Amino acid sequence: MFEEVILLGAPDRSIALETRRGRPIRNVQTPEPGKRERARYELIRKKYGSAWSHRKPACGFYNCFGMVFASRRTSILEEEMVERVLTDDGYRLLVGEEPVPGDLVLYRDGLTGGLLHAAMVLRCERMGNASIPFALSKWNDSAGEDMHHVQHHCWRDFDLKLEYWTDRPQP
Amino acid sequence: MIPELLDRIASIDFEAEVVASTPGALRLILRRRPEVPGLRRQYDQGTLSEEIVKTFVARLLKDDPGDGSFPCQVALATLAVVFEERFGRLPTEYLEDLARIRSPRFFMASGVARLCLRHRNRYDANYRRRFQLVTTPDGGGEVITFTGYATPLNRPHMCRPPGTPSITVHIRVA
Repeated sequence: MFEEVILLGAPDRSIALETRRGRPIRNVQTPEPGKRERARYELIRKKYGSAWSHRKPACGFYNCFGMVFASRRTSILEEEMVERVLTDDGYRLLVGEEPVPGDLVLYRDGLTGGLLHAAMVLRCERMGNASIPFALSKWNDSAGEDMHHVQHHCWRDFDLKLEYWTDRPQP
Repeated sequence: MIPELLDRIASIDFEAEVVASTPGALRLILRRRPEVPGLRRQYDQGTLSEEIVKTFVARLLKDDPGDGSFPCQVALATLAVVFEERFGRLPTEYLEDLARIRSPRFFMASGVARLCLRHRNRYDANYRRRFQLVTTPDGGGEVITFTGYATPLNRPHMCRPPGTPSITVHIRVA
């Protein structure tokens, strides 16, 4: 069914990337967005992003995990690789501690625990006693970057679990 | 004629509803979408035939402008999720072919197909499928439909476990 694409397909483009402990991180540099992907990003912003602040227009090469773990150089596509970075780079899950700018927020499926998305905490706003984190996201490999309230995302109908991770030492 | 649901999964509106940055996330999201059981039902009823699927895929590939990633990866990935729990020749051929693509332009769709195959193989290795005849052909060229369920291989006499998916296989008689 896909004979032509299989025959003509170019191999994946990836770069050398390793965790702090030297284990490899599989990655793929994804193509620059085409016309349709740019239109799709605009539609996503229109649909969900009324309260988002736009940082960067649609671009290729990296996804959300590539943004937070690989300095926007490539896309990390496997959950196993993300877990590898969290372990090898010394991240810890925040329990009963508030996130601060530079920490990560991971969006997991509330039912299976599967990883959906990662964003970087940019600032936390005080509202009474609560601290509301705002984060920077790249929604997919061809989207741009947007700053948003951590609860203002693209998966409103999904039962999500948010986790905050940090590389700061234990207090 | 291409069924409406196929047109729906190829639309930009649908793509904007299933935003994902990894194949694993896209598979997870697609498994919760109502379009997936809808297409499975059409496949089980025979309205989503091999010819229709091939025409649909050929149309998507033909409309590829060649810039950026392949624009209709979400549609290809959705069909992969539809076929993950179907075991006929078409689902198997579709998943295996899509999973063989090694192009960064198709990384999302082929990644989803690889995950679907992995889950399917895990299912295949641990369960025995039992089928019963649903429809019989009147003459040549008709489709015979079997429906069935799976029981764990380590408990072969077990009845159909509650909540397990049924499996439908269509066989075209030459």
